[in-house]
Amino acid sequence: MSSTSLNRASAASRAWPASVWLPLVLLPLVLLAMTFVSLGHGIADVDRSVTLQQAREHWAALEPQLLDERADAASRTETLRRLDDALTLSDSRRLADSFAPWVRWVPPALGALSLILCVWLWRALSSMRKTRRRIEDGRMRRDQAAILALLDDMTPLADGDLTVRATVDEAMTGALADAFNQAVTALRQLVADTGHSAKEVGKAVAATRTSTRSLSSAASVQSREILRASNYLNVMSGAIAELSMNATASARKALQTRAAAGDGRGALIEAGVQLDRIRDEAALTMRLTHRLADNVRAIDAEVETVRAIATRSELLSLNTTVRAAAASQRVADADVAADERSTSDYARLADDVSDLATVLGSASREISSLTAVIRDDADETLRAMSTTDAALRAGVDEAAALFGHLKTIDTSVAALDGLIGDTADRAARQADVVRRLSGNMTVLNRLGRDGATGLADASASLDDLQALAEALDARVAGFRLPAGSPVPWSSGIEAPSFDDFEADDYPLDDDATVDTAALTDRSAPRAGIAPPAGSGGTVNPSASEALARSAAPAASET
Amino acid sequence: MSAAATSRRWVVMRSAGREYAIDAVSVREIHDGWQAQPLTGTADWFLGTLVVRGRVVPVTSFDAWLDARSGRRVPPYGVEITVGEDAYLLAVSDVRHAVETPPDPMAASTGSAGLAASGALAARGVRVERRSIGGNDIDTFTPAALIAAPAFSDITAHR
Repeated sequence: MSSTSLNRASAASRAWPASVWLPLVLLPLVLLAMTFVSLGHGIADVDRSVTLQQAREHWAALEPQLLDERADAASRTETLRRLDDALTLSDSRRLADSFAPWVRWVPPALGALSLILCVWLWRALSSMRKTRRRIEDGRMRRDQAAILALLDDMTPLADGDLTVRATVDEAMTGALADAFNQAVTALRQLVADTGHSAKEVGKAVAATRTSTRSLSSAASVQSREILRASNYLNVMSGAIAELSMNATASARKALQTRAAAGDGRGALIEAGVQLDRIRDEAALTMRLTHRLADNVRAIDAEVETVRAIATRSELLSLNTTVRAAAASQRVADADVAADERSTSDYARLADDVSDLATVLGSASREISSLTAVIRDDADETLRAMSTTDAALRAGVDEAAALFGHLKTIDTSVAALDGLIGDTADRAARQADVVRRLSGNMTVLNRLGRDGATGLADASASLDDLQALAEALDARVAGFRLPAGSPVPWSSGIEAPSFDDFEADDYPLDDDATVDTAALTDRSAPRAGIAPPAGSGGTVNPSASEALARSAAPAASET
Repeated sequence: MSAAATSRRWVVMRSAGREYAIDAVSVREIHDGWQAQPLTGTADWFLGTLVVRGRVVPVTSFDAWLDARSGRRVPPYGVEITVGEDAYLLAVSDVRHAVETPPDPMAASTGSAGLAASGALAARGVRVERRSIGGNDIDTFTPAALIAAPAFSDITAHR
């Protein structure tokens, strides 16, 4: 049987014949019609009951009015009209009831028709069920044969033979065979990839194990260095604390320097006052000396007058002498005794005048000499006073400049005081920060050691993983793949190179501790920790105390 | 009193770098602060004329006359000498006090006792005698001897 006929048979078996769907359609219609008819009868009965009830109520309401003798004819007429209306309504119902006799035969007819339809439907369904069973039996036999053939094709797969291939035909198992072939192909790729992956995993695990060991060594070195750095930080904290204390001491010194500068400024002011006084006195002395020089020049002028008088006196003496000599000559020539006295008087006068001229000349020369000496002394004094005045002016200027320098020093020291105070505060904060950093380094050290331990565990786990990868590779090797199977996927994993890191370059110490005493020893400074300039290379006890204080929290945290 | 017994007074003057002495009797007056009236066409050493007590007196620069290198520089002092009734003014650099010397016995007989002198004054043809005056040997001359010297009489400029 071809697949087309099978499909057609299947479609035919799925489609209902007219002998089935026709009674299935008619039977509900008949039942629905019978239901409507019955419902109509029920409604008519209820309506009649209601009409009778209303007529009874109208009659009950009108009866007293009709029986009332006192009622007039108009009211009885109105009452009768209402009763007529009610009876008119009852007439309409009676008209409706006049058609009911032939309608009463409809429900039994519909019931018989529905019974006939049910019998027809039962017979059609029985025939269709028999036809379907016959078709299903043939199909089952064909499917069993195809399944047996497919099982025969799949049997070698249980032995790991991935070269099997199921036959794909039009049978029910054709799709299964096709899916089986695709699964086997995927399984081939999977097995090939798994084998290659096992090898790659083995390589990667080996490389990772090497890396892990290197990392473990590096972590140990890192832990040791962190511990050492922590100790260095402790030492640095102590040094910074010492720096802070030194800065505080420097601030005090700066204050003392400011006070000393203030004293020096006061002394300079006093010295300036003294210099001004000395300069005033020197100026007075210079004025007096100038006056003395002027007086000396006046004396010199008078001395010149005296000298001129002396010269004139000398000339007078000479002329007197000449006169006396002439008189003496006349006396000698005339031999006159009377004139001898006058001659001698001339001579005596000449001698007196000569003596006077001599005295005047001598006095003038002595006065001139003295005035020259006084003038020279005055000039020398003036020069000396000029020099002194210049020196005083220079001293005053220097004092003023020194005052300015002292003021600048005071300002600079004030600024320096502020800077030193700020430096002290910053150094204190830095010491606190370094102390906290030391604590953090301790935590890092602990983490590093934990990391090293974890890396060692990871290395062991990697050993197990490599064993598992090898076992997986051995298991995958049991599968038989056809020749020319697809190239397995390459992960590209290569063993990382750790040539840069050599654990031997960082020899591990049994106890990675730092000799803090050697670090704080200024006489033997180590790299990175140089003693501060001017410390003289001695250990400051305060630094040791600060170091102990800074190391205490870290030790407690450790 | 006889002349031989009287002492002599000398007026010592400095001129042309040397000291000369003249008998005080021959000196009428010693002047200073004078100013001569120059005459044109005269020698450099002839400073001109000066009116003294109503008389015109020729003024001669004794320095320039003795030493031509002195030029027309006017010496400060003037020694007025007399020869007879005539008077002459010798301008000299300096005049000292008259120095009195003891009487010279030789001078009374000869009138010119003393040592023979040489120098500029003698070279000018003036008869000079060297005497010890005030402890120094000084050339002395008389106004007459000076006036007699030919070089002193010629005051023309050609000289």
